[in-house]
Amino acid sequence: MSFELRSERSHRLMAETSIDDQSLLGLIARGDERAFRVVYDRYNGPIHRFAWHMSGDRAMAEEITQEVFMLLIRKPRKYDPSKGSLGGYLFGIARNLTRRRVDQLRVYVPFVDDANASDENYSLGDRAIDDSANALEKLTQRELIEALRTSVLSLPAQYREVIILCDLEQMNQSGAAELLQCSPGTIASRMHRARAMLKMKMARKGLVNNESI
Amino acid sequence: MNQSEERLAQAFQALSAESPQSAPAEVGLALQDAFRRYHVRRRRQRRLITAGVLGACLVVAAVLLSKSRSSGLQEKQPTLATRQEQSLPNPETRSLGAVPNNTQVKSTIASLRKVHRKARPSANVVSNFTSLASYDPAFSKDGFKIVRVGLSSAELSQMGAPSNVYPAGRRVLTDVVLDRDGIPIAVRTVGR
Repeated sequence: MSFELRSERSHRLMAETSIDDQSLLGLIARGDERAFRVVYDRYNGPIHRFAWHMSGDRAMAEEITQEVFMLLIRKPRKYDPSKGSLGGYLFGIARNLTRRRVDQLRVYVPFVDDANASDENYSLGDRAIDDSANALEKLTQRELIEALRTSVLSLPAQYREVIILCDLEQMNQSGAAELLQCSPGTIASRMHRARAMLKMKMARKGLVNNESI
Repeated sequence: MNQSEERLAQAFQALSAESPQSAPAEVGLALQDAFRRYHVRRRRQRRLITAGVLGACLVVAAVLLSKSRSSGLQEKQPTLATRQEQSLPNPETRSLGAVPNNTQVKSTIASLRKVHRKARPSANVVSNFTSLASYDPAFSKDGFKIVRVGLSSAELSQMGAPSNVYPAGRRVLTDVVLDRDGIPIAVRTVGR
């Protein structure tokens, strides 16, 4: 499985250390704090983002990230390399935890297009928006992002996770298939449906062209 | 790619860029702290377990050693037993050096290896006592002491007891009656 780590720091760390995950886990089991730090830096970003996009709740995403790595601290030998990559293993834990939490707490996305109401949990900064863009463009961009976020969160979990992994985390389909334990064909069909659903939702909000769907 | 897909891709890019690059620093610090604490606790537990196992091993070794020692002693010891059927003589009079003509007594006493307080019941055949030359019915009346010892036929003959029935070099279990002065006055064999 391969997924891109967008964090520059993670890239640097991966380049710096040639130690593979299995060796790192051995070191972690022996109490090597630096090895744990390397693994944490490698995977905390994608896992945190995944939990965040899946739940739409910042605090929950932090808790899930913490729980995933706590499990790694307590039971590093539980990971079986023959079953897949460490990233996939950690994602699997995060996925299960997120689903359970969301089911338990019934933290569902508000279906209304109230961007302000959800800003507390999912505040969008202005970082991605070009400073040179005018206020109107900024507003449109912000509206688009917010609409997409709420639309993604309103998708059924099986479609949501495919969109998050493939479109937001830029994981390839075979990687997502390995992680979600289904065939790449299933992933492809889920992604197709999920995108269609998203376009519909976005069109309803008037953010994409209705005719082109 | 049609317009709606383009717009969607653009939105995905923007949302992806807006997403946090990593979990907050506090999460990392808390996890690092948890990692440290967990391994300190684990090391302490391991040390305790190791010490416990080591202690248990030592105790087992000590018990085994003491057992093997005691069994070794029992094997080495011949079946010597002392039966105190009558009152013990005065310690002063037990002094062998003071006894005249004590060569026989000395050799008898020297052959005593171990004295058992309780006489073990024996399945051996017990013969009658044979009085020795040193026995004087006029003087010896009480204060007798019977000592069970293993004696060779040579020692028996030295004491004046009949020993020709036993092969030379073999120790014979013998009850020796000592008078108050520690002089053997009678013997009986407890042979089979």
